Amino acid sequence: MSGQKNVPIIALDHISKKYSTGVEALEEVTLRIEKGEFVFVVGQSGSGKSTLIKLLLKELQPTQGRLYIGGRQVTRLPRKQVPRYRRNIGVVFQDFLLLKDRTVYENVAFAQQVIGKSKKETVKNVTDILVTVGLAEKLDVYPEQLSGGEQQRVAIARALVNRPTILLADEPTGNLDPANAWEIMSLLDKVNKKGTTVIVVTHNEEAVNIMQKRVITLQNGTVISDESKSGYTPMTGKARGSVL
Amino acid sequence: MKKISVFLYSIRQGFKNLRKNRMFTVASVGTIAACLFLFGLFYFVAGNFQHMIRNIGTSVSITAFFEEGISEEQIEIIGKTIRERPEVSDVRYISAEEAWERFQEERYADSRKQITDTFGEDNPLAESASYEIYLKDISQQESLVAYTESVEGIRQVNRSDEIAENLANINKLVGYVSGSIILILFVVAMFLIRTSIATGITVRKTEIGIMRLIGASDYFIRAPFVVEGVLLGMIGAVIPLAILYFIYERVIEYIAERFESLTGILTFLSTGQIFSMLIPLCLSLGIGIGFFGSFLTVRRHLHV
Repeated sequence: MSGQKNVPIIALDHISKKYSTGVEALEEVTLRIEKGEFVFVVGQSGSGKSTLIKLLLKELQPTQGRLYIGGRQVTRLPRKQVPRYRRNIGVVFQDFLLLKDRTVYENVAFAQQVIGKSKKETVKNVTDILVTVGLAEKLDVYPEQLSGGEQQRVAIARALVNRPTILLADEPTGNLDPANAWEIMSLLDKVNKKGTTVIVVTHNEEAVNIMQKRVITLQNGTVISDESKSGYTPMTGKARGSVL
Repeated sequence: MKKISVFLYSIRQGFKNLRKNRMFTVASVGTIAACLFLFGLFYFVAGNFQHMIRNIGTSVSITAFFEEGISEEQIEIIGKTIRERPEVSDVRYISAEEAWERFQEERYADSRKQITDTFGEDNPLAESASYEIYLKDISQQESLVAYTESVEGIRQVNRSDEIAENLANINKLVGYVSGSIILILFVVAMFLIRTSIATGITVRKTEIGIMRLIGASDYFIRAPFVVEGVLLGMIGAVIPLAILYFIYERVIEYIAERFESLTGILTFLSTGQIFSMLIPLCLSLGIGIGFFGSFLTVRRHLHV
């Protein structure tokens, strides 16, 4: 990914997504996210948050508009290049998506195996990242023996072990109690401070308020507010954000 | 380096998949093994049958009679020309005396004296010297007859149309039946491999989903399933081959003992002869079915 000055790490230029069912999930969304930013994407169910994540992961193609990652247009990325593209984006989900028959170490190492890292490199990278997320003592433990918060930390470790430039977290605290949720948010903040661009899709208003980060609010497929580093209060009015 | 590690990963994962899906592994291997076992049995029968037909076929000859007054030199030239034909396995010269001797033996074995009294030293078949021409493949009899008839110095060619046609027809029939059976087995085994691999894909849906999200290539996701298919095919081929190897000699011995009187007709291929073809055939079929079955399934079910 490019590290050029003034080039946003993510830019959506009039992106729309209409499903074959006729539902318009995103409508002319235009926004830019700078390298190293921490951004919350909030909104009610059906507001278009998940569609936005899927577009960024290239699981979906926009119906209209252009998507730029690191200054490169990736809207019509050839199918063969999608795996390499995804290696620059770490992703974390609400339900952790860990492999139950593999240990913490194996779950994280799996991401390294996928990109063909050697055993030596894998051991080093996995150990380092597990230290970062505070699970160095639980290498040989299976996911079911861990708390929800710990499982999410394993998922974050797996998302980060390949050193992506962007980390997408889709409702990362959705299945966690407040204490664990806060731990995860702190960890994401720590990751962001090390230089990774973090985008968190969430319903957790409390976390959003406490973290004091940029908040993009979606409603019915459009950006109705985009507030930076200020206290967050839910908005109801329609004010399409356009900062590109 | 990366490619090698991904390749080794695929092999390891392929073996793991077999262990994880134990039930489907057993079912698939069992059915492929049963199919290939039947194929092997059929191959024994068809192979030996064709071997016997070939033996009978090579003992059938056509007879070429010379024109009257032909010189010995010309006869030799004709013999040399015919011997050079690719479909000819042997050419034997039958002199007029030998022909008369044979005739008496075949037709008047019990009344030789009467014949000697009637004909004395005369040879009624004085102009019946001939070449007995043996073929490598009985189905080529017609073309050889046509050729021989066109050779200068040949008066008449006798052939055994009925035997040649029957043997050629039986050979063809065996070919068609074996072709159809192989095709049916191929389709059944392919279907089984596809079901097994598709089930494996469904069972590992989460894992595949994670692989996609963390940037696994098509090759990385698909290769273990293809390896699994190839292994299923390979194991499914080795088992029946081992059993067939064990039983072949015993069955041949048993038949030879039981039908001793037919020893001349019942000539069997040796274990070495039959397995030198059956082993590569079964392995290619098993591995081929496994490879294509799994390859087509992952292409259909796994999209990045």
